[in-house]
Amino acid sequence: MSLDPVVLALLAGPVAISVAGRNAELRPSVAHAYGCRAVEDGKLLRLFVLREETRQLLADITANGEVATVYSDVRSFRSVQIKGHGARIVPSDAADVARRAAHYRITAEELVALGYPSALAHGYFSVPARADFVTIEFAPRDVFRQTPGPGAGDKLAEGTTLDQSPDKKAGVA
Amino acid sequence: MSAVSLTALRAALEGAIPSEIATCDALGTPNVSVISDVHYVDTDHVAISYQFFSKTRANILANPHATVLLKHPNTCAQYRLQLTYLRTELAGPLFETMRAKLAGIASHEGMSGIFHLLGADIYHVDGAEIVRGDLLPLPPPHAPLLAALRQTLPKVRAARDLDGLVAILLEALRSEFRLPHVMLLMADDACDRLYTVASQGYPESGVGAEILPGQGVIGVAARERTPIRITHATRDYLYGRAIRDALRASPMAAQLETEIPLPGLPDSGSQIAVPILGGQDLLGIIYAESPEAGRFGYDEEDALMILAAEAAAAMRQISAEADDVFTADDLATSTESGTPLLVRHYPADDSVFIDDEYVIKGVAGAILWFLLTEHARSGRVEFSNKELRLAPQIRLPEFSENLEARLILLRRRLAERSQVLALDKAGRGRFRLNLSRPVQLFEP
Repeated sequence: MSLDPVVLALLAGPVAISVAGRNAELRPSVAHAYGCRAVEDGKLLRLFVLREETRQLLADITANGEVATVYSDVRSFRSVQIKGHGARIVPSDAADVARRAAHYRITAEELVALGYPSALAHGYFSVPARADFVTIEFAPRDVFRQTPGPGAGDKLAEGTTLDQSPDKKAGVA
Repeated sequence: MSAVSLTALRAALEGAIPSEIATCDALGTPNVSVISDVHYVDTDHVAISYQFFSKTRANILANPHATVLLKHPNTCAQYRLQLTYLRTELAGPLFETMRAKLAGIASHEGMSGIFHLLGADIYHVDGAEIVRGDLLPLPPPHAPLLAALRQTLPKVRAARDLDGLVAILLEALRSEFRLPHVMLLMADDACDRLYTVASQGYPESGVGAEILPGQGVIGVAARERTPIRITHATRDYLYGRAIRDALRASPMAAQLETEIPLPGLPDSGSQIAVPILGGQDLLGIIYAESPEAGRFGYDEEDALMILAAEAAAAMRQISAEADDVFTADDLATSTESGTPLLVRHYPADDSVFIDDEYVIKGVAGAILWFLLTEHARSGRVEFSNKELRLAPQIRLPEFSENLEARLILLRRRLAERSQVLALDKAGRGRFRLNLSRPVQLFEP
């Protein structure tokens, strides 16, 4: 599936991103992602994570490919969750590196604009000098509205955008 | 990534920065969602607010494992907790503590009216690890709290009367704990209200102001006998007008102090109220506030709870000790001259007016009227706590810390409102009525 343009715009903006997997005992793993890149209107998503922060998550995704990701706009808390099967760990490419740098810049700048001290705003998304990044790639299967409040957890049916309420709930996340 | 004690991570459990929680359903599909608050319960437990029936909640009911990612609000450190869901609490102290905290977070995030606590989900912490260490240095603490406790507790234990204890507490809160805006309230025995015996850091002391249990930070702390802390002050827990309106609407309104407003900072950023507990009995509340948001953390709460526990022990000790024995100079009389002071008493609510200006009502009003009528009858100026306790006109609560507290508030209130009429201590359990002008009593 390709993603709704509103969802794609959210992903391209100043968002905090987290990725979750789970092991064979169904114990979840979770880590922060340092940006994401939508390929072909979101038919594929690539998320950038630090290897040293994600050992369990990478092991879980390698073992079973199950992935859940959440993107939360730092200005409004407007959030979506996107899930998929068959996720895999791939090396980061040049486009990932460029996108990661852009994500760092716009997210930190937005936090500064919101009034956070600059050191904190940059600190949350900064990475060590010799950062060992890998990319988690998956095909989105389901998108859920995740903004706190009424409608949180509603599955976005095909053709429904993030900004309109679906007539009936197709699922809850 | 290294293992770490949960207690060392408490700053990341203030809800200052949203956290993420990952869960997994029974079929193996993971879920991750942003949550506003992970609450520290003890070294092995956290609680997460249950606000609506989400996928996270459906998942933990089916599969109790969860993993949480936390961020330190000052150092940018990241932590991960491995959790197992145990149970949900729908009421009680923890629930109310979290409800107040959530209201503050909601206000901070512009989400007032959206966050509503349905329950407190309790989790066992199976493991805690540092994902990334401190990037930025911790800001220095506002006050050296352990040193403040070490300095203060011996003085609290040495207090010989309630008046002295109140003075010690206020001084220590200001100078050792660096809390410039504080109030000390006592609970009356029936526990149907709290009254302010002392405050500092406000233009008006508010001594004598009353509050009902359940109202605002102080009232909820009193009702639940648990510390209540707001990191970002919110309308949901503010006092002022709403509290006075509630007092006036109470069936007991005639007996409640509605004329003296509770003091408060106009732009309060953070508030904390801790109960002074003697066993299960609520003796009073220590309240502090600050214009600064996020001023009171878990450490301040711990320190004030230790202080409150010592204050409770001292109060119990004081009330168990015998008062001084009466001596012959009890019959000493005062020398008054000048125009008589007109003091008016309304028996319906024991309100007392001096030269048409309202002073006090309720128990403290009854005490003042008793002293003045007794003085008018016998000329006596020295009185004992014991005779007040026995006086049928006063309808005093049982415990003497309550009488002493009422006397402290009366003494402070008179000092603020009258230059003619004063109450001074005259030994343990005794005091002297000081009048610089004659008094004319009037009762309609």
